[in-house]
Amino acid sequence: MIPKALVAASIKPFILSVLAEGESYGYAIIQRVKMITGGRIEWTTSTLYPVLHSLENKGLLESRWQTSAEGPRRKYYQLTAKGEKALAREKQQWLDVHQALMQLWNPTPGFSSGLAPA
Amino acid sequence: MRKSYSFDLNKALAAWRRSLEYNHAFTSDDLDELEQHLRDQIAGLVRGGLSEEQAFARAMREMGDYSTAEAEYRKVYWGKLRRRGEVRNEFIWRMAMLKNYLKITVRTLARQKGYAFINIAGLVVGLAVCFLIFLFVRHELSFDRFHAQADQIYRVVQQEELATSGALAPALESAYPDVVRAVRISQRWPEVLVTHDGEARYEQRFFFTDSTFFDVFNFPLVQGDPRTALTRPFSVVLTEEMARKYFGKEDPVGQTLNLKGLWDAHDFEVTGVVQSLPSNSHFTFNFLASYNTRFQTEPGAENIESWRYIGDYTYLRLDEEAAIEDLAAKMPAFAKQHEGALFRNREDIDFATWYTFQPITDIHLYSQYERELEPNSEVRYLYIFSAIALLILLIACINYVNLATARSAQRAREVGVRKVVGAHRSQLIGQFMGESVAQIGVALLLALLLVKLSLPAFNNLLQTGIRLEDAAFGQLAGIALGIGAAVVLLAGLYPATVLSRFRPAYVLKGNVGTGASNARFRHGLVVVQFAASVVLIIGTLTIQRQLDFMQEKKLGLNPEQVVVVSTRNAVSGDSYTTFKEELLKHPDILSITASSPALPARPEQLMEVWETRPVAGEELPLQASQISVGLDFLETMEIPLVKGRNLRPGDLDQMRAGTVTPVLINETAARHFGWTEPIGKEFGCCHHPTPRVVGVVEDFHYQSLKEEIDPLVLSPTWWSRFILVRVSTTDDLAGTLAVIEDKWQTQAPDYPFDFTFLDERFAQIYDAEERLAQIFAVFSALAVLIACLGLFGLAAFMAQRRTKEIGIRKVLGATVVNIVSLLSKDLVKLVGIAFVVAAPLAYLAIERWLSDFAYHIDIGPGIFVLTVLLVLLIAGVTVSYQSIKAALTDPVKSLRHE
Repeated sequence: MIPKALVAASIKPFILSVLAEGESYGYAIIQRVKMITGGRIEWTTSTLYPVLHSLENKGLLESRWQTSAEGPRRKYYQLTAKGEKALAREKQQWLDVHQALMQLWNPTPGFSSGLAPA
Repeated sequence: MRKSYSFDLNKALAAWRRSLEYNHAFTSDDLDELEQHLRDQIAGLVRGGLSEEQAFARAMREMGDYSTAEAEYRKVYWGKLRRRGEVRNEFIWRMAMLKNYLKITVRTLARQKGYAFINIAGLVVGLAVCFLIFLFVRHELSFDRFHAQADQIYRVVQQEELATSGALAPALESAYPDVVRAVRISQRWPEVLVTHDGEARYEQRFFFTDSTFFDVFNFPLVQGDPRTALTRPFSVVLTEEMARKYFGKEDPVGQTLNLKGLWDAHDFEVTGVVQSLPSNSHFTFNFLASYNTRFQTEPGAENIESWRYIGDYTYLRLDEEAAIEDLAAKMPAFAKQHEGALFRNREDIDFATWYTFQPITDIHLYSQYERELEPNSEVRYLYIFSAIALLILLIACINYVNLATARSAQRAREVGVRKVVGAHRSQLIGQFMGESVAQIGVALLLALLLVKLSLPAFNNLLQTGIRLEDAAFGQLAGIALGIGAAVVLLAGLYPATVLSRFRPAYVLKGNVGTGASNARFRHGLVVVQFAASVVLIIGTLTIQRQLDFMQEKKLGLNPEQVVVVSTRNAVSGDSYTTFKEELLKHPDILSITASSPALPARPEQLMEVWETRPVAGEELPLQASQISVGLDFLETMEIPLVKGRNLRPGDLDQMRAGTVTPVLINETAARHFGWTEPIGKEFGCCHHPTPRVVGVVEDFHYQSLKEEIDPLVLSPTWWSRFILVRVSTTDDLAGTLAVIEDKWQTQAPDYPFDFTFLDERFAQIYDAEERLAQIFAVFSALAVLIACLGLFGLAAFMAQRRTKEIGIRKVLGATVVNIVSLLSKDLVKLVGIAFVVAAPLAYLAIERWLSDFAYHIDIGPGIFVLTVLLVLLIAGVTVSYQSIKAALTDPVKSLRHE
């Protein structure tokens, strides 16, 4: 399992990245993230929706309502220009962290600490 | 057969949605989104093979906890409004609601003036009492804190007594750098005769003190220099009051006052005037004279700074960095060094606790030594009064809670309508709390007004000098708001929860319910109110009875019709004999004697004599108190002689000759010494030739009834510190007094004639108890009054609710008596329960209080029976007004109504 703190920290980049693939709605976003992580991350509604609303309040997302035949309306979210910039920033930050960790885990020869791999 | 039933997803979702609809945090957009989510999820689960019902249950479970969802949604609520530009609307809407709430509050109060009055009046009195007592407690806790370094000022206690040697202060100051200042205060002159402009007056509270007095204590001088005012001999510093009294508008500094204490009179130069003393100082003075004056006025002045000669109070101020524990640790060695010699360095003398230190801020509430500079209070009175304040406030709050919940039915429809149009429960709680805040706010303002008006009476009652001006406004406002907020929480929260709990579907159908659980709760609260009242009433009655008991108890002497003349030895010896002979010529003067100390004596005034001869084979130190008396003491005081003979003139000659001192003892002494035949017995004593018992008198009370009658020795004396004159019961007491004064003037022309009455002196020793009795009486009257206000309101409500029932009963033949007893039965039960709850508590409390008195009343059933009757009577009268009114109502009117 992925610890709570990491789930909480990654929720914003996940949402932004899923929406970068195209317009989507809450249930679909949860399903997409669940699939991509092999079921290791599955948000509850009370986790996802307030974050979506707060991103919308900040202007990173915009939404539209689509009426459907059965049931109530469905709310679709998509990235704004501001949201795309925010996603680029997030991406850079996560890549920085990722690369730093990778360097530690797979040292390039020449920068080796001298320890033989186990 | 199993009942067939089919799950309808749409209905289930609609029900789920309704449960969230009243919650302000979820907008309808949010609910649309969530519902669609649920539908998607359920569809997915059904595809996976679950039934719709199972899928719904699972989706609900996975949705997570409702309250965390609400909290998360609340966080983004205002952001949503801002994004949509709806913040202003929200505010306008909220203001409109506020206006509506206010309007409803005012209308409700206006429609129910009687209840509003009862509620607010009770709260006003309760809050005012609470506030006054808070001020009192604050004042008591502030004692001596006005000194700049109050935390570093200590008083020295020597072997559990306050008297210390005049050598102590200088020795401490020079031996320990931590002791910044050590100051002696000497009451060598218990009073002074002040002569100025040809007029002589006795004044109290005259002290000798070191020139560094003002370095330790913060008593600002309005005139004169605090550093030099007390440096020269024969300098005196006055308080503003004394300066006004003797010099009027003149400048007192540099003028002289002729002062006579003990020994000769001297001229003193006024070197300063002290600002009026604050009311929260543990000691007060009228005059401070320079300590070094003593060396030039007292016979045996060389002893003043001897370690053997104790009598001064010693105060010291420590360095700010120093700790008193460090100084205390050095004291055993210090004591041994200085005082050891007096005891020939005996090894068995324990110097470990020879000197101890009392923080000056503890003196007023905790110090009860003999010879305190002024009588101190006790911290337990703070507890008692605080408890009373809380009880009264509790009673007032209970009124509020009871009336509000009782009348909640009237508001039920309003609550229903509000809920139907979308009010959330928290909004309703807010509304009703707001109403409480408004009412309590009004009550608070009125209470503050009442406090201001009643403060002089309260000060008079408690003998304090609390002034509102002394406290910072912010602090008072803080206290007021604090008490107000506590009352809002205590009184407002419960009714608000009850009111907001109504279910619209029920109340709008007219089904408010009898509120049985609320009624039980109300009854419980009434029990608490009356239990509190019962405790207070029992306290009042006990204190009053004990007071009556002490004032009426046979003292064993007759204090009526006795004038006590304080002579200060101005008329003594031969002049006393002449005075006595002259007075006895007057027909209204029956008999004259003298005594020292005056009766009633305080324990510390009694000289002690010892008998250390073997008693029953053991060397026992036997102690007795001693009073020096004139010859006709027994006749004048009307004390019966049991055995032997009375004192007679020849006895004084025997004393003068130095052979024996013929003395009288009381029965307790005879028993204590184990003498079956006491006449002729002699015992060891210090001052006189050997005392020999010539007579035994019946025990009489020579002290307060708090003290036991101890073994007592009456020894004859030709001195007369106090002259006791028994006068006949004549109409012309003033004339008789004039005769005594006239004879006094012949014997002591320079001295004022100063007299009191013996019965008054005996009554005065119970002043503290008298005051306590008054305070209890006032507070319990208030408590009962507030409780009755509430009961009155409740009774009115109950009678009103049962109007129809009463009408039907009357039609069916019930009499007025039946109806009244029907309505009063509950009340009697409640008072009964309250009594059962309160009586044991009250019993414990009064038993503890009474144990302070050596002679006290027995706690019989009388007080308890009286209390029950009193409470029943008061409560009965309160309720019966309403029940009789209800019972007399014409049933036609009450039944036709609907």
